[in-house]
Order: sequence, then C-alpha cells, then structure tokens
Amino acid sequence: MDKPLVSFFFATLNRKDVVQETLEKLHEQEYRPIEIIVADNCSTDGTPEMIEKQFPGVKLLRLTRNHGAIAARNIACANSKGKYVVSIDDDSFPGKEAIVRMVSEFEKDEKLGLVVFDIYNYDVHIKHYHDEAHIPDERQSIEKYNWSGCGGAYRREIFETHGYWEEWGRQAPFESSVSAKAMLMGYTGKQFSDIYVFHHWSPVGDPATFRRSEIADITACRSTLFFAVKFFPMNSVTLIFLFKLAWITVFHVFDTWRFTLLKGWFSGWLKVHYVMKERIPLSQQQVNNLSISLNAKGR
Amino acid sequence: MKILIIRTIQVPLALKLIKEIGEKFGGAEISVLTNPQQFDRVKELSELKQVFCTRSRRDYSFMTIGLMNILKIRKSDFHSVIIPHMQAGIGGFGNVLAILPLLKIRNWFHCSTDWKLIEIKKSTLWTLFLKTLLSAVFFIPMAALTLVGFLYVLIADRKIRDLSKTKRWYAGYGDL
Repeated sequence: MDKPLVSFFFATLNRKDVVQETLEKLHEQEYRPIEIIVADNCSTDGTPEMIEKQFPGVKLLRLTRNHGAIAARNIACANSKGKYVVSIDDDSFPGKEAIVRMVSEFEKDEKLGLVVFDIYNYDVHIKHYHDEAHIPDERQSIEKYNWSGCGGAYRREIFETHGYWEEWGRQAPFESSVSAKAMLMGYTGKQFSDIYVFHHWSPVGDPATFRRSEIADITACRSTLFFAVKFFPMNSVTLIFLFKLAWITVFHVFDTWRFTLLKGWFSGWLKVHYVMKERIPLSQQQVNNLSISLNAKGR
Repeated sequence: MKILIIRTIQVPLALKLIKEIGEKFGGAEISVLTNPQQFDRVKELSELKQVFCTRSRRDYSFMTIGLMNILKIRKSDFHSVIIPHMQAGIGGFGNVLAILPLLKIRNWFHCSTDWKLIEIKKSTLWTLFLKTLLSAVFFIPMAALTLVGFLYVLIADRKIRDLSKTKRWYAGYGDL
C-alpha cells in the first residue's frame, strides 16, 4: 500500500539562515513521500532566491505583500496536497524519525485528528539530533489540543470541512482555532514524547529579538475575545472568562501606561457581530480541553 | 543559603538561571516552584534541592500555588526568591509579586533577559496595590460593557438558532 503524502509548510519573513537550516533538516526526514511549502511574506534578505537556488524541490509561494504569519500559513496550507499537514515555524523542524512515528499514529487511530509535537530547545538538544538521547526512555502520550505553533500535524479533512486558521487569531487562539474545529468533527488531539520538534528559543522582551509591535498587542487581545465568542458556549464560565479579559485589559493600562490592549478590547466588541455570524460553539468540556489561557498580551 | 525560584518555564532556561545563581551566591541550595507541566522534567535536575509543584498550569496566583505549598515554603526558611519573569513572559508577574509577602522570604529578585539578578524593591508592592486600586475603579464600567456584549451574543445566538429551527417558508399563490 502506498504511504500517504505528508505536507510540511511554514511562513517566513527575512530569516534566511534559519530557513536554510530548517529546509536542510526537512530533507533529512526519514519519511517519504513529503512535500515542503514555504510562503514567503516578501523577504528582502534573499530568502526566496536562496530557496529557489538550493532547494528546487520546495514549493515556494512568493506572496506579493506581507500578509502576516497566519494568512501566509493558510495560503501555504491551501496549496498543500498531503493527507497529513504539518505546520511548523521557520525556525523549527521535527526530529528525523518523528514523522514516521506521527504517520503511524495517525494510521493506527482514525479518531486522532491532531498531533501536538513536543518541543526541544534547539541550543540545548540539537547535539542529540542523531542519537535521540533527549527522548524519555518510557514512551508517553497525553491528550492535548493547545500547541505553540512550532509543531503540529492535522488531518486534511479538518481544513476542508471547517476552513483554515482564523486570520483574526494570534498566538494561542490562532493555533487552537483548528484544534477546536478538529474537536467539532469528533477528533482527538495527542502529544507523544517521541514526536517532537527542535525549536530556536527567543527570549521574551529581549531587545535583540523583540519583534512585537503595537498591532500585535491589539490583535492578541481582540482575538482572545473573538475566540471566546466564536467557540465558547454562552454560559456563566464564559462570562467569567470575559470579565477576566476585561480585568487584564484595564490592569495593563495602569501597569504599562499603554492603551494597546484597551484598543484591542474595544475594537473586538465593536466588531463582534462579524464573528457572531460564524459562531460554532463547543461544549464546556471541549473548551476546558482546549486550555485556552487568558494570554491577552499574546505572550 | 537557600534560594527559591518561582516560575521556571523550561529545563534549559532553569539551567541558565542556576548557573547565574551559582555565580552570585556560591554554594547556594536551590529549590524551584514550577507548574505540573514542567514538574517531571525539572525534578530530574540534580542541581535542585527541592521542587514544589503548583496545583494547575495557570498563573502563579495564590489559588494556583495553594496554601499547602505556601506553608511548605514558609517552613523552608529561604534566604532569597527569584522570579525569572522576563524569560517566562510578564503576564503573571503581578500575581507572583502579590504572594511574596506571604512566603516569609526577605530578599526578592527578578532577572533581566541576560540572566543578571536585579533586586525587587518593596515599594514595588505599593505600586502594584495602587495600580490594582485604579484598575478596580475603571473595571466597573468595563465589566458593565462586557455584560452588555455577553447578553448581545447570547440573544443573537439564540435568535440565529431559533431561525435555523423554523420550517422554511415558501410564497404560494395565496400569499401573493
């Protein structure tokens, strides 16, 4: 029987060196057949030229403008053909045998819709790339639906049925939006100790790598609100969640003397009717399983 | 000398911090208060004397840390506490700060992104108290707006659902 096609995709912007390493490592994957799709958000540092020259087999989507990380990811995903789609960051890549194991888990369990990759810090663990010494001796798996964006795999049917990641999303809500859709279709999500990615670590608030903008805070707060309105059942638990969001928003103003979250909160409530139209509420139990944090600042 | 670290996010980051503490306080006994997600990995570290675990993987507020942990920490008689919030994200720093006076630890530190320890002044607590007070005043109208928004979503959701339940109506000759 033919093995199913696995599609890897990621979005990038001006990160030539890490993209080069990620693509090299993806080509070292033991699993075949694979396809790799890169959505380039108009990089100016020669990233697309490098990909075209060094990795001619990679499907490069040269976007005409910077669409942002999520829209670019969606475009890449829409251009993939695999039965299983693996979303990674431009600075993360799976272990050499991780995809073999991932496909075997998907094929074994028809109800498994999402595999959340375990994350290993690149700087510390990359020396074990070949010997896998970082993996615990005993194989473990837990039910998990929230993930950090740098490594997650889905069945294609989820995207075909309920669409891609919410483009209003940011950070946790963005990733969990497809997990919520997987739940609606009755799929489960799991994390396995030997299915993992290596991920470069960027410290929060480090001026050298601080790539946050005002708009990021605004969308982070708004997308948390939108996520609740779109996927949460309207009950007292959701009301408390929304109160907490309001508290975090107002406290942020006095804590930092910045109005970014407040702007996001107001713009969220003013535009909430757009999300109302596409509301697909989960049960309270499913929402609890999603473990959405009140991470309004997107950190 | 006994040192407590609150809010460790990953083992490699803990190791960096442990190294920094070793340089500042030579021969210190280091303990960590971490969350259940990191607990299994953190407790494997031989550099640590004791590992405390919060009740759930949320913020580090009083309810999440739990009274038992607070009592255990009080009994342990720590010399200093370190909160590496710059590396773990600053979302819950206020929550951790608010419980510090309960822990019976005299010296409080947080650290910069390059892992240098910086003392937290006691006046920071007063600032936090004032910020909370101000926030509480402005929270009232925001809570009211939230309630209105929630009711809007609730009613609109019901209406959309009711509409989808009704039988589709077709215009017949009698209606024209």
